[in-house]
Amino acid sequence: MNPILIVDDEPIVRESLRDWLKEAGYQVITAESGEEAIGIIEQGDIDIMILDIRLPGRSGISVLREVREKKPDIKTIIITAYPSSELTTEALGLGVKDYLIKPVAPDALEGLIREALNKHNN
Amino acid sequence: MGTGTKNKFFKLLSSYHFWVLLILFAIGIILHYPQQILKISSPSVFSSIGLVRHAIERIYLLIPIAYASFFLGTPYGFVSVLTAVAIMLPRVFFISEYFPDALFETIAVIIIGTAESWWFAYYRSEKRERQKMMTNLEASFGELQTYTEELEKDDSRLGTLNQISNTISQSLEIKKILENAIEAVIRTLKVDAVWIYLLDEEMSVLNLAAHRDFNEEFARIESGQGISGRVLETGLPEIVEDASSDARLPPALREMMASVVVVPLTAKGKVIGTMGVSSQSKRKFAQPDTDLLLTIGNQIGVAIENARLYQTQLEVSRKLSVSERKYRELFENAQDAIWLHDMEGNITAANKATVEMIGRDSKDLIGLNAREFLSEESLLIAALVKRKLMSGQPIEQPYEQILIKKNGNKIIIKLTTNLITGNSEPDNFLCIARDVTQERETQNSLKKAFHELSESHRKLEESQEQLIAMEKLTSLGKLSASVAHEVNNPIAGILVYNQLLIKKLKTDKFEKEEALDFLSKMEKELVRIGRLIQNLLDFARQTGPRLSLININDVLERALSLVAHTAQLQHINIIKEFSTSLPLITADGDQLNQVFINLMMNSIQAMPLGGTMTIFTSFENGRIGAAIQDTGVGISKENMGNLFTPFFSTKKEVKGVGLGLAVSHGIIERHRGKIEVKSEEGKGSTFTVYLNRSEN
Repeated sequence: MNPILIVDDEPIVRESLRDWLKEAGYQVITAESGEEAIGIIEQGDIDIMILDIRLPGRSGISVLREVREKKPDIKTIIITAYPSSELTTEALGLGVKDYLIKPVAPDALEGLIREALNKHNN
Repeated sequence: MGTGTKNKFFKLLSSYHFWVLLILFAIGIILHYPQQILKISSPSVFSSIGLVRHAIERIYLLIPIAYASFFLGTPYGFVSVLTAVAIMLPRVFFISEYFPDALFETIAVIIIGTAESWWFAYYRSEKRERQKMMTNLEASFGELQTYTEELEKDDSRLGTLNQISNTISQSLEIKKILENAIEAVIRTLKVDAVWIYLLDEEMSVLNLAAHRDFNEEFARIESGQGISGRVLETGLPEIVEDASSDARLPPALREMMASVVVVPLTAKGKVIGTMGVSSQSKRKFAQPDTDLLLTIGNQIGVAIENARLYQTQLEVSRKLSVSERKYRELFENAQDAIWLHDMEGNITAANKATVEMIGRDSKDLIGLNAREFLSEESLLIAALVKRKLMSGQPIEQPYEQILIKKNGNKIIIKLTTNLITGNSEPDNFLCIARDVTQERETQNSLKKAFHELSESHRKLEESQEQLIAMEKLTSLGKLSASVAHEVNNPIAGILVYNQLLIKKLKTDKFEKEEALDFLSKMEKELVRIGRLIQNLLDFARQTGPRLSLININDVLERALSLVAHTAQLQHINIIKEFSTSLPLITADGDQLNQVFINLMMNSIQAMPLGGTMTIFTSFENGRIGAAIQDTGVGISKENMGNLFTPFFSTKKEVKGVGLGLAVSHGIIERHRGKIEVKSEEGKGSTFTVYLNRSEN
């Protein structure tokens, strides 16, 4: 099973989600910026990406676009602390699986991941 | 002496009393010696009629003694006594048969005769005294009569004087007084010429004021010149009995007059002129005449003085009437209403303006009571003013009253009232008033306008407050990304760890170390949230200006903490260059925080593609500078002028309300500071807030 990529500039979000998902039995890899995330994606196999849409430096949307271009199979779940309709629309248009608003309920996220993986596996 | 005796003797012989005496004694002798002379047998003539013998003969001798004593005097009385004794003694010694009786009778005759003589002597001296008294009385009576006559004469003079005085004082015209006086003098003293000189005090000359048959050549004489001049100087009358020999008189006068009297005319003890009279024939002017003239002179003097006084008064009253007319005109035509009212408030005089002001006919105005044209409140004020004026207390003048016109319209008048003292007692009030209704209305509308203005000013301030609050909300809106990030991220972390802990506790896969690690992370985030919330609350608090001593660096840090994430998201590098020597200043930290957040957000928005925001603080020339510099797009020259204009915004893409800078400007102005902008298009802008060091 490929690791789940968590992209967030906030350490607490990254770490807490990583700890939760690890506990749930997933492999987790984290990135704190868009650039770092692209690097990881290009290097290895990632099935699922949890992406903060607002990132310092390279924005979430641009990361999303590139992922869609390079690895269209990656299922992306957007998390945001500050939702905006424009960003949501744009993100959804880029084929994200879901859009969660922080604070994210961890079991709900886990559910989404499971669902995505099942689809993926199917 | 012999001649004297002889004379006396002849005088005696010429007196018939002597012859009567002689006859009486002859009868006595016959009666004493009837037998020897008449050859009758009876020793007494009266024995036939049965009288006591010889008694009558003896008593008879007392008759001649009495006669002599009475008519010729006591010495003759004594001579008669001796004669009687001589007649009786021969009979005593030679004829009488009763010698002792005869002797006794003779002695009795002597005694009685002597007594008789003495008595007559006394009687005569008494008579003489009485006669003398009579003479004296007669003399006194004569004097009295003369005196009475004098008095009567004086009385007639007095009458004349009264007449003159009446005539003189009847007129108040000097010319007439003098004419009357001259007339009276001529009539009373029967003189031929009368002249009156009056003193011209200024010129020190005598002017001929009036005359009768005087020489008009002498119309004017110098003081001290001639008789009149002398009288003027001495104040005493001059009498010239013989004018022809008096050198003081000029020849022309000497010809026309024989006797002259000149008297002074006096008034209040001052000589004001002279009056002269003259007669053509020589005449001795007696003291009464002079006195009369003097008195007339005084009368004339007084009359002239009165006349002059009258003239002066006439002049004064003429002037007074002129000035009164002027005042009357002033009063009548004054723009202000002027009226007088008595102590009861009844109008006693009023001018045209009053008529117009009160709105009644001028004839109805006189006697009109204040009650009929003053409002009730004004009447109370009027009573108070009256009381104060009467007791001499000060009142604030002018004061305002409400006047009710005849048509019921109310007007506001501004008036001054003064007490007028008539005859020693205050009897009227003088009121000067002006209709100030228009003025008051204007004032009221001005007041109203002012009130409205201050109201709108207040509202403006209120809306300014609201603007600040609104701008705060806008700022909060702008900050929402930051806030959401700052709040939701830690919550997200906490939530996850919380659920993880629960999960672990439930499944008993609990590791103490791990749990403590989770909890400490959670705590750290909770503290972070708490701090943020505090900052937000501080910022959002809608309070009025709240001054405190603050350090600008701290305020800037607080602002930064809210915008930092936004800056980070936009790839903006933040550089802080804070001065460490900033003094504390008295300011509203929350409002300044708002300003700095605003400026910082502007800065961030000016750098959409990232950049550097540098924050400087400095303290120079007694003022603190806080600058926020960006490397953004800069501001175009045309936009520079509109920077602080409300609702002006260049940030269409970020939906700026356009109030940020306007509100910031307002806040800094209220802190007596200022905001300076330096900008260059394409290179960036610097906004510097200058604040003066604490003013307190």
